[in-house]
Amino acid sequence: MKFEGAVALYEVAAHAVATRETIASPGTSHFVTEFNRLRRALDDFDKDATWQNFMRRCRRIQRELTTTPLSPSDPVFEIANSVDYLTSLLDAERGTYPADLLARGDLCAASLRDLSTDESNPLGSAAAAILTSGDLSRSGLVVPSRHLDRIKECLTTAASGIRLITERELSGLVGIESLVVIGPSSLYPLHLLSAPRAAVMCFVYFDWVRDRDRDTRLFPGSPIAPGVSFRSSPSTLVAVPDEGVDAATLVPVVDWDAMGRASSTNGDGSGDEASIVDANQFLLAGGHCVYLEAVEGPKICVINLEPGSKADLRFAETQTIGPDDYIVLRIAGENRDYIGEIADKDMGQDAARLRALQTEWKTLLHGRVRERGFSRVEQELRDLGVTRPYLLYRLAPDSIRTHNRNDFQLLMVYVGIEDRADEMWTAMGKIVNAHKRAGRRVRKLLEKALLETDTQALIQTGWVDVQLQENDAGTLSVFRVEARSPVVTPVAQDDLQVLHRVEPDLWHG
Amino acid sequence: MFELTLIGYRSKGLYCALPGWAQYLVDLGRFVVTHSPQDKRLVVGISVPTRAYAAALCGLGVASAAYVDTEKEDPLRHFAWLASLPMRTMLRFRKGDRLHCATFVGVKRVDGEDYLVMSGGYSRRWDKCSDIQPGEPEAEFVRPRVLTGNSEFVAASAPGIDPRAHASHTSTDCLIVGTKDRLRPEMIEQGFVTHATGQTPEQSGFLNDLLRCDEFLLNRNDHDRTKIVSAFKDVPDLIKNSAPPAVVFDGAPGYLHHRSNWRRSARVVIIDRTSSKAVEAAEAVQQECVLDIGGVDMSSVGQPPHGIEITAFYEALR
Repeated sequence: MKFEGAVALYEVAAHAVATRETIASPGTSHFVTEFNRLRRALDDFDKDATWQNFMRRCRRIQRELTTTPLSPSDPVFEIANSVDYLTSLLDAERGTYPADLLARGDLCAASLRDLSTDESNPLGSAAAAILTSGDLSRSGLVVPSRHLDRIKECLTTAASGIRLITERELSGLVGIESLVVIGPSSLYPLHLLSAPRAAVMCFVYFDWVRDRDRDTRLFPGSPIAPGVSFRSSPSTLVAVPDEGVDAATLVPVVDWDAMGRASSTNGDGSGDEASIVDANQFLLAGGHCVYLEAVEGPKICVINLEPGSKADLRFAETQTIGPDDYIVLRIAGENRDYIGEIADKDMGQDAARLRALQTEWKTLLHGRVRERGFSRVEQELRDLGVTRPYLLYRLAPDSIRTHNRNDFQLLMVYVGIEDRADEMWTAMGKIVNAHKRAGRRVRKLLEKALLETDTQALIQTGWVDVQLQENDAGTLSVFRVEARSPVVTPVAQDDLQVLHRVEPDLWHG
Repeated sequence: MFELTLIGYRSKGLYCALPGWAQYLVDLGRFVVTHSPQDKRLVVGISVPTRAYAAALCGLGVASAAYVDTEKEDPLRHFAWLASLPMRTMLRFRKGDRLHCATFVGVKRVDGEDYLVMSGGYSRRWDKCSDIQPGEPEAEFVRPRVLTGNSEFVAASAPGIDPRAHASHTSTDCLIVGTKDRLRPEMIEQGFVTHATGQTPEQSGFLNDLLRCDEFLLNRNDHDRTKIVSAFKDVPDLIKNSAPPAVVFDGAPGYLHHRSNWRRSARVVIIDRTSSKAVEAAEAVQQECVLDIGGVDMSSVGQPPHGIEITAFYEALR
């Protein structure tokens, strides 16, 4: 960034102002009222699976309507399908739950059915009116990335020249004077307010949403909250409790338990102790999820993408991965370990012999775990003097040797091949070196491929397939991490780095 | 320490003085060096709307405050120290705007004056040795080379220092933890200028002319004063165990990765509020506050400008 660009950003940060434009929408308002009434009526039943599924779907629709400047009848909302789904849930429970509760559910579904034919688009119309009253070349419309293509298509018809901006692009914006933001401020990252990228912002949302003022300070006790000043307070007066929705309740909540159940073959962590590994689940852009190891050792290729900067690649420990990191996975082909595959090619005819030696000591270690149990083996290794046993990782197929030679020597003593420790150390060293060369090669290929990739599109959508120019690594996929499970779960080795499609209700509901 | 004056930049052909936020960051860098007592450590956390230029400017303040002109030390003491070095120690010295290398041969006395004798029959009287320094352990013996640097810009923006002395010694005045690729354009591509006055014309240069980052100097064996450590990689023990006057963390990831290092150095943690790790880093800064042994009077730096949020405290050295 040129220095003048930074000067402009500080200017904006010092003087930015924001307004709130609330829009009436009788159709959506009716649905929200019915949904609120149902929620209040549920009381003791809100933990039941049926009602949880019902509420998840309604919450998802509520959020999508709030943040998507399209008419409710638009196919992207799939409201007619949702009505069928919700009705089927209710029908399956007729006679099980109190009739008045089911009637509330029916009213909620009926209000959605009415919406499915509602062709008005008050959010889109208001946004277009505001934007077209100014200089379109220096303004933008901020929308969530979901349904981006459809929004683009419709807005181009309504008012050509409107620039769509997703929340991930905000930090890289320079030279924008005004932004219209669809939805309340609570639905966006705090930096939209604390590090504004436009001098004037207007939040456009339905009048049944109650936005909140947010504390933009990073350090508690700071005398001044940085960022935009709102010209108006959020409206808090709601005559009838059922008619409003607190914006904070529209923030997506990931149901990690449900996602875990839906995406692992061994979700309870039972089975062979040595084949189970502690892992975090990650929600990825585009509605996918994946498990990555939560132990020291395993690494994954990570891409730092900062608007205006060259993509920066590195290998980072999987346990350090978090939201907004871009990770590289291989989802096509049988072997997920693309580094290992390239390393084998690099080692040529020696690969089979070296891999056999690697398998040999691992098999012996697995045998010890089977005989004595995981905890005992780990303790015995420590007693022997191994400084970093990391037994789970040592048992995994992708660990090669210990970092410390003495640890490896002791490991060989423990598995009973002390006399071959030197041979094993040297052989494993050759594999390690081949892996390092493979890592550098993949990094180089990826950097080259990324130069030819539309990184702006990657930032917008959050994922892209990258075809490497040489055949040895094939197609790799880059995904942005959206969220990381707060707790570590034991999963089968076979479940690691396997991509699963997530049912949208589980992370939008 | 050297004073920094009259640096600005050109916009649409006109000279512009550094804006308030930029000057504040330079002043902050100077403050952390000049307000770090031996027995406690100063920790400053700042949040900014963009990381652009923040670490480079703060680093400039640190480097300017930490600068010591070793050539102004007592010449007799310096000579005695050189004379005590083992024979054949590699030395480097300056002749005009060139750096030369030679090995230490011994000391001789001529007409009642001591001289330092180097290979090639070259000798210097005791009071003319202030530019002579032992070569760094890993330095190669090289032929005479021109000192790189923009002496006109350095002299104009830091009046009072000898630009040749500035360019011919290595020292870690400032350590920046960040990403080289992001700092490079700010340090060696963005031009800055000095303000022309009646006597002196405008001089243009780059922040790195003053910072002298090892990563961005022209030749591998040029002398540097600022080190950049990768935010994501582990650092060699030599750097990890060093105690620079101050460490500037350029962004949350580097701070989160390296915060346990350089426990004796003052630190400035720059947090870009758009970073996904901003909250985590701010919480980590606040955690350090547990060892808070006193507030910091920052009135000499002035009020933080709009857009910058700051927290500062002293902590007990561990």
